[in-house]
Amino acid sequence: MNEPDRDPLIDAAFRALPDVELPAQLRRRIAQIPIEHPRTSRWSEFSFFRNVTAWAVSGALGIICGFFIELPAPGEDQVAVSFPSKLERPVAVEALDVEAQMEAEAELDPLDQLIAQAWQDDWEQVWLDDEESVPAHDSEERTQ
Amino acid sequence: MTQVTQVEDDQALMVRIAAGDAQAFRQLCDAHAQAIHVFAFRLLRNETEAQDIVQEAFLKVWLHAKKYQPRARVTTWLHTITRNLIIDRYRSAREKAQHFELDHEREHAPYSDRPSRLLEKKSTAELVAAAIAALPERQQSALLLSHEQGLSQNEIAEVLDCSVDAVESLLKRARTTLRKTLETTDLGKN
Repeated sequence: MNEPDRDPLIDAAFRALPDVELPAQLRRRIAQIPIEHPRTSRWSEFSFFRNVTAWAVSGALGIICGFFIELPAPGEDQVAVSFPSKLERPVAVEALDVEAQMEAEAELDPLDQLIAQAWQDDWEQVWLDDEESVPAHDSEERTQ
Repeated sequence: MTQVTQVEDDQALMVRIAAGDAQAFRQLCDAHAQAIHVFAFRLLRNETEAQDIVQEAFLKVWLHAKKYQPRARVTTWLHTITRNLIIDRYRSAREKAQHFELDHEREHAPYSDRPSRLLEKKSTAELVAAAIAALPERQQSALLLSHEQGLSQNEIAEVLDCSVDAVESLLKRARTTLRKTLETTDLGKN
């Protein structure tokens, strides 16, 4: 490994630079970081699961075994508790959208569907003619 | 404390920080905050911005300690984080300057003076600082990391994300330019 050659002039230049002290204010700001951004330790992450019980059943199929894991009681600050309800929402909304679309389509008779399609085609044509409002790559994709 | 002991200590501290140990984090800050602050200040030449960058760098260390790989020294990792944050800030400043068409002088190096202004500087210290700041950012970083922060060429290559040959070239160009500027000053005549 080639280390830099020492250059007396450059060394003198760096010696001439004023010292930069670490301001006490910055020291305090850094010390505050763990307080302002608390993190759980690895041990507390593992200890999230409590009362793990092993079980085993012997029968005709052989031995089947597993674990019962008791989760901690729901708390306000536990994200895991709210997770299933968050998961349900987008799925439910999507399902409702599909149902609403199917119902709307079912209500139109064939003539209404033709008129609706014509409106849709006209609208797309107007939209495509207005090239200035469409970014170049976007309009290319749409005209293809 | 020898360098080897410091490296081992730093790595042990990083393991504890990854496990959420705030005391270990403070020890790491005590050991490195001063050097990182000097590095940020020299590149930015602005105390407020340097403080913000140092705080942000240590916040990243605290939040992403698990990502640290012991193959690199902690100090190399810290300098890399700091420099990346400074570059982000530099880009953001340049975008603003271009957007408002305000700052033509900062196009080359946003936190520096132009070489033509260097002679206006009064003290040697000011002149040296301005001459370093007038270098392109990669040359500045290489020079500061080598001469002030004491990093090896391999470590500088890691911080700058380039080869050791490229670091040598950067240092050579930086020294030549700096020498040329300083030779006309009292420092060069002595």
